[in-house]
Amino acid sequence: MAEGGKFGGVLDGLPQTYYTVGQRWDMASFDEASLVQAAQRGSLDAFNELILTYQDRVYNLAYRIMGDPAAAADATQEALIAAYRNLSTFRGGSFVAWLLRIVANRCYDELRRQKRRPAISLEDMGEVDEDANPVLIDSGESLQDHVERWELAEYLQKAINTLPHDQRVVVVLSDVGGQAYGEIAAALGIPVGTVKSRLARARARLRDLLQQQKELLPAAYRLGGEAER
Amino acid sequence: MKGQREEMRIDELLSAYIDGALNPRERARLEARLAAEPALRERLDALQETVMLLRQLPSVPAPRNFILTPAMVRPAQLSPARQPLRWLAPALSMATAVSALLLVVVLATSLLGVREAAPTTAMLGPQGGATQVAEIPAPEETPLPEAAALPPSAPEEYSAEIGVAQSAVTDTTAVTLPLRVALATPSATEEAEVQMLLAPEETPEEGARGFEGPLPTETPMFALPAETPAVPWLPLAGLGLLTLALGLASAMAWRSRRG
Repeated sequence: MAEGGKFGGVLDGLPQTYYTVGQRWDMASFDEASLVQAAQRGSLDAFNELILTYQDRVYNLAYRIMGDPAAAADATQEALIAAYRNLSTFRGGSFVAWLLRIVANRCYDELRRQKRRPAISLEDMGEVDEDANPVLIDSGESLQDHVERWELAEYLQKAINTLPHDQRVVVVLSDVGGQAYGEIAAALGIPVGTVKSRLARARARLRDLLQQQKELLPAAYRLGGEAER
Repeated sequence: MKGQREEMRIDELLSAYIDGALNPRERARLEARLAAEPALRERLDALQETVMLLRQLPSVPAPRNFILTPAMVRPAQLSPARQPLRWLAPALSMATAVSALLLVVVLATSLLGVREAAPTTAMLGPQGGATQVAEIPAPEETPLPEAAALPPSAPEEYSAEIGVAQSAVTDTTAVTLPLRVALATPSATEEAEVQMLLAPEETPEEGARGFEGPLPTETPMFALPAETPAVPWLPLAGLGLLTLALGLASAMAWRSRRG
C-alpha cells in the first residue's frame, strides 16, 4: 500500500487542476473495490490511486521478465494504459492479479517482437544494472547478508534472463507473481498442461544453474538443509 | 533422448509436487519413490530451494511513478487508423463469412448445373472444306430416351435459338432442343436439327429439321448445344480471392484491435 511520502512525491510537479486534494481518496480507508468501480466509471484519479498502490509489484514483475530496467518501465507504462482502457473487462477478483496478467502479456509480446535469442549462456549476460534496481536493505539485516542477498538476486536474474521467453514468463508469473496455474493459463491463452510443463523446465534449468554457483546460495541451502515451504 | 525425456518427466512430477498439484495417487507413488531413492530426494530438495529463492527474490521498486495523465489515455492518442477499427473488425468478419457463403453457393450450383446437363455425343470432324460439321450418331448407336418427334412442319416453326420447341410435342415429356448449327459445309445434304430426344419410330433423316434464321442450314449434320454448361471459373476465382482478401483484412483488424 502506498505511503504518505509517496503521495508527496506524486504531487510534486503535477498541475493542481489534475490532482487536487479534494479528489484524493482517503488512503487510510483504501477500498479497492470502490476504487475499481470508480475507475470503471471513468475516474482516472481512482485508477491512479490503484496504480500507486500496485505499481511496485507491477514493475517488479515486468523487470523480472524483461531483465532490463528501461524495457520494464516501458512495458509497465504501456500495460497500465492498456489496463485503464480495458477496465470494462475486469470482472472482479484480485485487481492486482488482473494487472499482473496484463503486464505479463505485454512483456511477452515485447520479447517476441524484439526477437531476442530465446536462450543465451550465463557467461554472455552482462551485469545487472545495480543503480537502476537497488535491492533495499531489510531492517535487521547485516551488510554482509545484504550483499550476499543482492549477489544471489543478481545471479538469479541473470539465470532467468537465459530462459526461453515462454518459460521465463511462466516461471516469473508463478514464482514471482504468485499466480496459480489456471490464472497463468488464462493470461497467456495456453493449456494448464503447457503451463506445468514450461514451469517445470524453467525451474529445472534455474536449479541446474544455481548448482553451478553453490557459493552464492544461502548457507542453509549450501549445506543441503531443507528449505522452508 | 529417451533419458532426457525421462528426466524432464521427473522434473515435471517434482515441480507439480512442490505446488501440490498432484492427485492423491500420483503423490503417494512419488512419495514412495522419494523414500526409496535418495538421489530423487536430493533432486526434489534442490528444486524446492530454487522455487523458494525465486519466491524470495527481493522486490525491485518502481524507478518512478507510472500514474496516467489525461493526455495518455485520451482517445486521440490512438492512431487515426485505429479509430474506426472497433467496428471494422466485426464488419470485415461478417463480409468474409458472406463472401465465403456466396463462393460455396456459386460453386455448388455450377457443379450441379454441369452434372444435370445431358452431354451430347457428337463427333467432330472435318468434312470437305474448311468447315466442320458434326454428325449425329445413328439412333441405333446412341440409345436415347424416347421423345416425341417434331412434327414435319416447315423449318419456320423452329426457333433458331436454343430453346424449347414451340411445336406440339405429344406423347412425351421430353423436350427437344432445336439447336443452332454453327457451320455448314457445301457438301452436307442433311438437315441440321439434333434432337436431344428422338422418337423411336423416326429416323434421323425424318426427324432432323433444319433451322431458320441467319445461319446456313444446307449442310449441317447436326447441331451441337450452343452452350455447354460449364463451371464459371472466373467468377469463382474472383469470389475466392475476395474471400481470402477479406479474411486477411479481418484478421489484421482483430489483431490491431486487440492491440
